[in-house]
Amino acid sequence: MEFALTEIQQMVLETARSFADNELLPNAAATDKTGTFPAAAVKTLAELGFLGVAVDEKWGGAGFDNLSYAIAMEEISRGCASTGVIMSVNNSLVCDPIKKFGDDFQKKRWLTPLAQGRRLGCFALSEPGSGSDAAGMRTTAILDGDDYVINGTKNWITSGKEADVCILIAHSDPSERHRGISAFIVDRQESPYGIGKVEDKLGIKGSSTTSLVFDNVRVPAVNRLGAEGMGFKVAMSTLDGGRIGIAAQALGIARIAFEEALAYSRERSAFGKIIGDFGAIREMLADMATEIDAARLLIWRAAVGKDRGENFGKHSAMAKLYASEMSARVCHKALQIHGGYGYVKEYNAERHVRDARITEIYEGTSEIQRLVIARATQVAFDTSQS
Amino acid sequence: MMDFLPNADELRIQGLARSYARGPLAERAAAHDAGAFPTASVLGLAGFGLMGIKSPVALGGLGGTNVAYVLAIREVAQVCASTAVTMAVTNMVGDMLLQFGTAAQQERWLRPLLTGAFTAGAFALTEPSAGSDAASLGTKAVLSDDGNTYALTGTKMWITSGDVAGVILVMAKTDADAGARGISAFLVDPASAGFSVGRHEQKMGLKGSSTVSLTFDGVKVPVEDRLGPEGIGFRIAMTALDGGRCGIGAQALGIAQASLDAVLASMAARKRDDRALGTDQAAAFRIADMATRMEAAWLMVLRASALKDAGQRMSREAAMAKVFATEAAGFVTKTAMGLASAADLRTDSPIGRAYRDARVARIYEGTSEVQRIVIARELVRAS
Repeated sequence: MEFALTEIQQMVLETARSFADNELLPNAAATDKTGTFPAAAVKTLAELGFLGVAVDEKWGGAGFDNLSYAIAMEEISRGCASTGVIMSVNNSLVCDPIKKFGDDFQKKRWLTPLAQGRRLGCFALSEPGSGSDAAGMRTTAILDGDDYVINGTKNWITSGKEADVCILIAHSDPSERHRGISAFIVDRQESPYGIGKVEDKLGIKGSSTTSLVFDNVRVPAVNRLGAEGMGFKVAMSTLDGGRIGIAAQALGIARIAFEEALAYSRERSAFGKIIGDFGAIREMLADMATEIDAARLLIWRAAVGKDRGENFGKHSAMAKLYASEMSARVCHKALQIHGGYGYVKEYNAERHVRDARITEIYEGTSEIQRLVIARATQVAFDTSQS
Repeated sequence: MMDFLPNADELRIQGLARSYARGPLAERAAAHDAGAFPTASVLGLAGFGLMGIKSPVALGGLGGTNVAYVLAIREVAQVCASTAVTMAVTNMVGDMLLQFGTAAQQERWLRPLLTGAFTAGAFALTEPSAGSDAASLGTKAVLSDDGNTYALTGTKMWITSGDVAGVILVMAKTDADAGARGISAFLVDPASAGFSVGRHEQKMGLKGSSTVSLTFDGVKVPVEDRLGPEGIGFRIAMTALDGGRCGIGAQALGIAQASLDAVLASMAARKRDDRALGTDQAAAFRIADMATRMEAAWLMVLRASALKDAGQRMSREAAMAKVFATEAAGFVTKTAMGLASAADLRTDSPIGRAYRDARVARIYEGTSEVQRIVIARELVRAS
């Protein structure tokens, strides 16, 4: 068994880390404070190929593997969690389904500009009345001549304000549940839809989170992604991959929280010695570092599985569940190590706590991940017994 | 490349361990848990070379990697943790002979260890009043005036296989004033005069493995049985433990796997009784947490082992693997008790046995607390 990154993966890591150190870390606090979309950073992501990391060069992407993507996501999110989620959504939730389910016309028209960062993507599945129970959605897409007519409201859409290409999941046959759902590429220039409420969030404040309002929006039938009735499968398969991105985001947030706590523990003194030499602090730091490594290994395992074409759903659910809950624990301890300074905005510890929290919720809550993992574990056991 | 896949040779060695474990060993595991030392099982494993997984084939080993080693330990531990720990300690002693021994020492001590001529090897570091603080050990090795023989005096404690071993690797002070640098390692023949086996400990788990105290009362050890030069005994011990920690992590995960499998089987059986426990979310969530922590822990064990195979420094990774895997096993075996049926709670049921067997993994070969000290030290060093 080998445990070493390839030259390309190492290069991706170094490129992403140096960009994060030089451009993201110095601006992350301001991005959080002002809640401004990090446009300059997103532009650089595009130049680095990080908006279509695992998209073939033929379609305008960087042509790297999914492990490279996970590595880049961790480093970028370490620099700025808001930039991280914008990157994750464009790669995992928009480029990936077009790459996997799109035809050449769709790839040429949308995948290439999305991967090159000339356009920005969003993914619309959740609704005000349906989250984990995605099949309970109400938005409809009814065929009328050569168009589908879309009606409904989508909620919690990352990059909703800035994005101009939307992967939309809607009921094309409202009389069916899962099997009546289809996926669409909605081009905001061609099929203008409304931007509803812009949410005021706990964390990742630099990314916009909005509702999208579809009121008789006409979308050409050629924009349908995959066959009619395949939308639920498109959504679930997309989220399997998305979970790798969010897990890596959670990991990046934990990394920076840990690094700052470690540095603080070497500077701050109490009772005549630096606090980093007290056993209680060292135990916390040891546990943080151990959990960070465990999460990274789960993420890399899922990414390698995806690269190999394995059924990686269980591994990506494990990675997402563990990394997001790990991130919350690590950020909590990092704030604790800072004492009072952790609670004020002079240091970054409180921001990391806020940024980490959403990773336990979006792209499948921890509860949904546990159901996926339990089911897969039971199936694996049953198979081993038969 | 990052592949997370054992290579063909690693799979072959895993296959040897699996077929022995699920075959002959499975039939004797309950008897071992009732307290019968696994002599036949240990000799059976030696017959396949599994007592020296990393030792050369020419000496009776398998010439395998560290990854092959943890794969094999996990397979055996999943069926019988007592046999696994006996096997792990013997392998560890063999590894030290391989790494620090002369050709003559390897011929005399390592070959019989691998072929099964010796039932086991033992590693004697801990003492009644020196555990985590190993450098403070009090056993002395005094060199005779003619420079030919050491006399070892002291008491060692919690020694796995100490009463059945054909060779005991003993750490003793050759220079009482030099701290860790005053420790040297010796290969002791248990037939030596002045050597005696003390109390057999009654343990809550690993009941088939033997744990004894050893007393050395002026035991004569020829200088040619010193392993490595004087003063490097502590380094030998720490090297042994770095590798050993991966093995204990793998052992803990084998135990955890047995526990999880037993719970899944038990839940499936009760589901057939129409109680539908398998579809209960409270149960499902616990299963998910067990499986996730085991997977993460296993990847940590594999990483540390693969880095060791690549010749890289891995003290931090080995410590992380040990603390994470053994605590995951503690969580899994405890949670399994909560999901079990009343019958599963018998002390000799698979779930009961796993619960008892898992506990010591957080203690021996470096407690969880010592692992955290090692990790923090490495973090500060790198920062």
